[in-house]
Amino acid sequence: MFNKVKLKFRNLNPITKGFLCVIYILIFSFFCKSWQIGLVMNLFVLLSCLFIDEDVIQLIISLKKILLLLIIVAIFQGFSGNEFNYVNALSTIFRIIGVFFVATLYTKVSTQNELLYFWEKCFKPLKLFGVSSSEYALTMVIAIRFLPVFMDEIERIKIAQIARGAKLKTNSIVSAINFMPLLIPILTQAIMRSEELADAMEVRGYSTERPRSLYKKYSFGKYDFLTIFFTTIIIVVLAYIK
Amino acid sequence: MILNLTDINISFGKNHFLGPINASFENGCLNLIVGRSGSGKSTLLKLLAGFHKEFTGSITLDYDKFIPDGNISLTFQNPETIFFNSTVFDEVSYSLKISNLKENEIKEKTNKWLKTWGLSSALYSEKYPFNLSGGEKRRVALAACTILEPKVILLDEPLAGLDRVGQKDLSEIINSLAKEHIVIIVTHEPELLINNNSHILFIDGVYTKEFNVNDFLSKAIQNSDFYPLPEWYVENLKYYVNSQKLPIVKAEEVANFLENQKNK
Amino acid sequence: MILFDRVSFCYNKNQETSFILKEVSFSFKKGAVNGLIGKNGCGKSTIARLIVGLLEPSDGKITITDEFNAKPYYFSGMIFQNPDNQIVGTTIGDDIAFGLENFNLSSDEINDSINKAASLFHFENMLDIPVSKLSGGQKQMLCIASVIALNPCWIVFDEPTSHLDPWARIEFWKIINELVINKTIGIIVISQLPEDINRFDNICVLNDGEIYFNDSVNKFKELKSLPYGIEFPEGWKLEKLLEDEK
Repeated sequence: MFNKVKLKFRNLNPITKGFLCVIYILIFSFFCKSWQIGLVMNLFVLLSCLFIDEDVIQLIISLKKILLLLIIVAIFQGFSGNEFNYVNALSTIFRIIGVFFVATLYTKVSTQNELLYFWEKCFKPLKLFGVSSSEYALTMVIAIRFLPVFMDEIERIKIAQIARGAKLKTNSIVSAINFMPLLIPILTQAIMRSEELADAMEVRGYSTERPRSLYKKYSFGKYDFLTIFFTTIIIVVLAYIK
Repeated sequence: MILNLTDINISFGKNHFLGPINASFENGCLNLIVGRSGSGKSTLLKLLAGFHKEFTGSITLDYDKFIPDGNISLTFQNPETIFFNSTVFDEVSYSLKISNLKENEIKEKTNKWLKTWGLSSALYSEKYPFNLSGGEKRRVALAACTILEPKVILLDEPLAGLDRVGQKDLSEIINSLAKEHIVIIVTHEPELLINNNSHILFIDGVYTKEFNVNDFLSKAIQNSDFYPLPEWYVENLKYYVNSQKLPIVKAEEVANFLENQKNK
Repeated sequence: MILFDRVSFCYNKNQETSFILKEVSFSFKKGAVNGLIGKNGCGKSTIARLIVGLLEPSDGKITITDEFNAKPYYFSGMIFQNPDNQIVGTTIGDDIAFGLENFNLSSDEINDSINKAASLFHFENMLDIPVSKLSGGQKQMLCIASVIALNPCWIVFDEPTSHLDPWARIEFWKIINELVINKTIGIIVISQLPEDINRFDNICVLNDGEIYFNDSVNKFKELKSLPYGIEFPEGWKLEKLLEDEK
């Protein structure tokens, strides 16, 4: 039963997810003035991991990625006065950790499609200025899809050119001429690949003029309503404390 | 010359990927690495060239420790993707220029090397690589990658994507290179390259096994899952799997073989 | 049936020399593997692009008719050489969906078509798997699945086996033969490998922008000479050698 609930929370409407992510980042940035509130909010985020089926311990361990940043910020914030100010340092750390947790959880529970769906909706208003959000979203999908292919290609070209004697490492000044053996092949490859991709897309019926449909439908259910309602209460409480 | 691999185990991070590999590659014959796509053939090439460093075991060249540094050339599938110079001559002579040779030495060496690869300098050296045919492009690319004449030449699918004429030209050149260099080729079309003294390293899952041509052909005839040889070859030779000298995968050779068998 | 009636194609109309195709006339029929062979740069890819509508002929007429079933729209798909350059989606499901979305179908219709196409290629439980995790052969299969989901009349394969290992090639030809038996989709395979000729039923040989031969493979076998750059498969050569010896 609880597993079912977890799944429901994990598969919220992508707009709800994106919206909540933005809201919680704003809360951590502007409402967590004292370290006590920061601590409570962070504990709340960790608690919410249980509802979206994420590993709390893994999330805490992942903090080590930003450990250096935390230490530096803490030192700067702490020494901003005459003597070391623990309260200042602690509240700043909690704010950064909070933003980090929220952003990490958001990317973990969202598939690429959901991210794109959210951004497409966000950029919808740009249509008034003649910019088509769906085309941008599609460009992003293709970029994401081709990144690994291209990284492989770059790696191969690099190895092949080094094996030929090209010296791609420059210790002193980075000179563009040294990188010619890398840049030109990568560019030609990119152009050739994108030409073929454009053909392949056109053959499969892609046209910027015709309307496209989306095959994944996202519904707005009671769980979306529940989370947004709950978040509103938190905002009200925080505003009251302030 | 002999390149020996002893107990090579390849890994990616914590994951064991391939091995133990025990193999020896010599000059005077074509050394073929055969296996399904994704089986780690290309990784093995990168390892030999010194670009994949996560491995255990030892590599020796003529019984001395082998350190890949300037004594190896490496080309990948579709080697023409490395072109960045405007003319064939510039492309092929690039490696020489980098190594600070004199102008006339560069010219002499490049012209000689172009000739080795069947690209007479009068006809080709001022042409643009991108205007050449597929087979010519491939030869320019391979010439450019091997001009420093390293002891070990590593080729990844050198024949893929060429038409039959291009494949024939190229395999002849590769065969003549093998006399003085250790040529190691990753391929999934060994039947195009196999000749009587080829040496095959077969990768199957995480295991590798060395074959001579006869054992390889005989095993492939008996079990098409092991390696799918062309149907006509298997059909004609399935009664002779125990023969000590199976013909290579060419019509004339097979015809001669069948004729001899009949006369016996 | 695909009918080319004196079709020419050139890049620059004023220059006689830039002709890629010179008044070619030939036809392809459904229910057979149609092969199109010729050496590099002889105009094979141009014909493929004319069939699927990426290019317009400079002169002449191309007629595509469907004798087996009437479909709401005539659509011809094409499979390009390198699977990596034609997969648009990040997951298997997304890629199959891409073409269907372009035809502005409803979500239910799309899901229906995805499931049908996926089950043909045993992808039904893999729809959420990222494309980058697939092997070369599987990627090729995905490209075919994505085109078949669009319910095409014809599929043109541009050197489909050149990126596959021999095991995957056998799988590929199995799929092609199944498609041919079902007869609903016409198959054209462009190739420069002599070994592929064995798999063709009809064959069209192109030489320097002109049709050299267009008939059944059995008739092709009897040809005495071939244009430069084209060879018979080794298996046929052996047959001839053995016959000569008798």
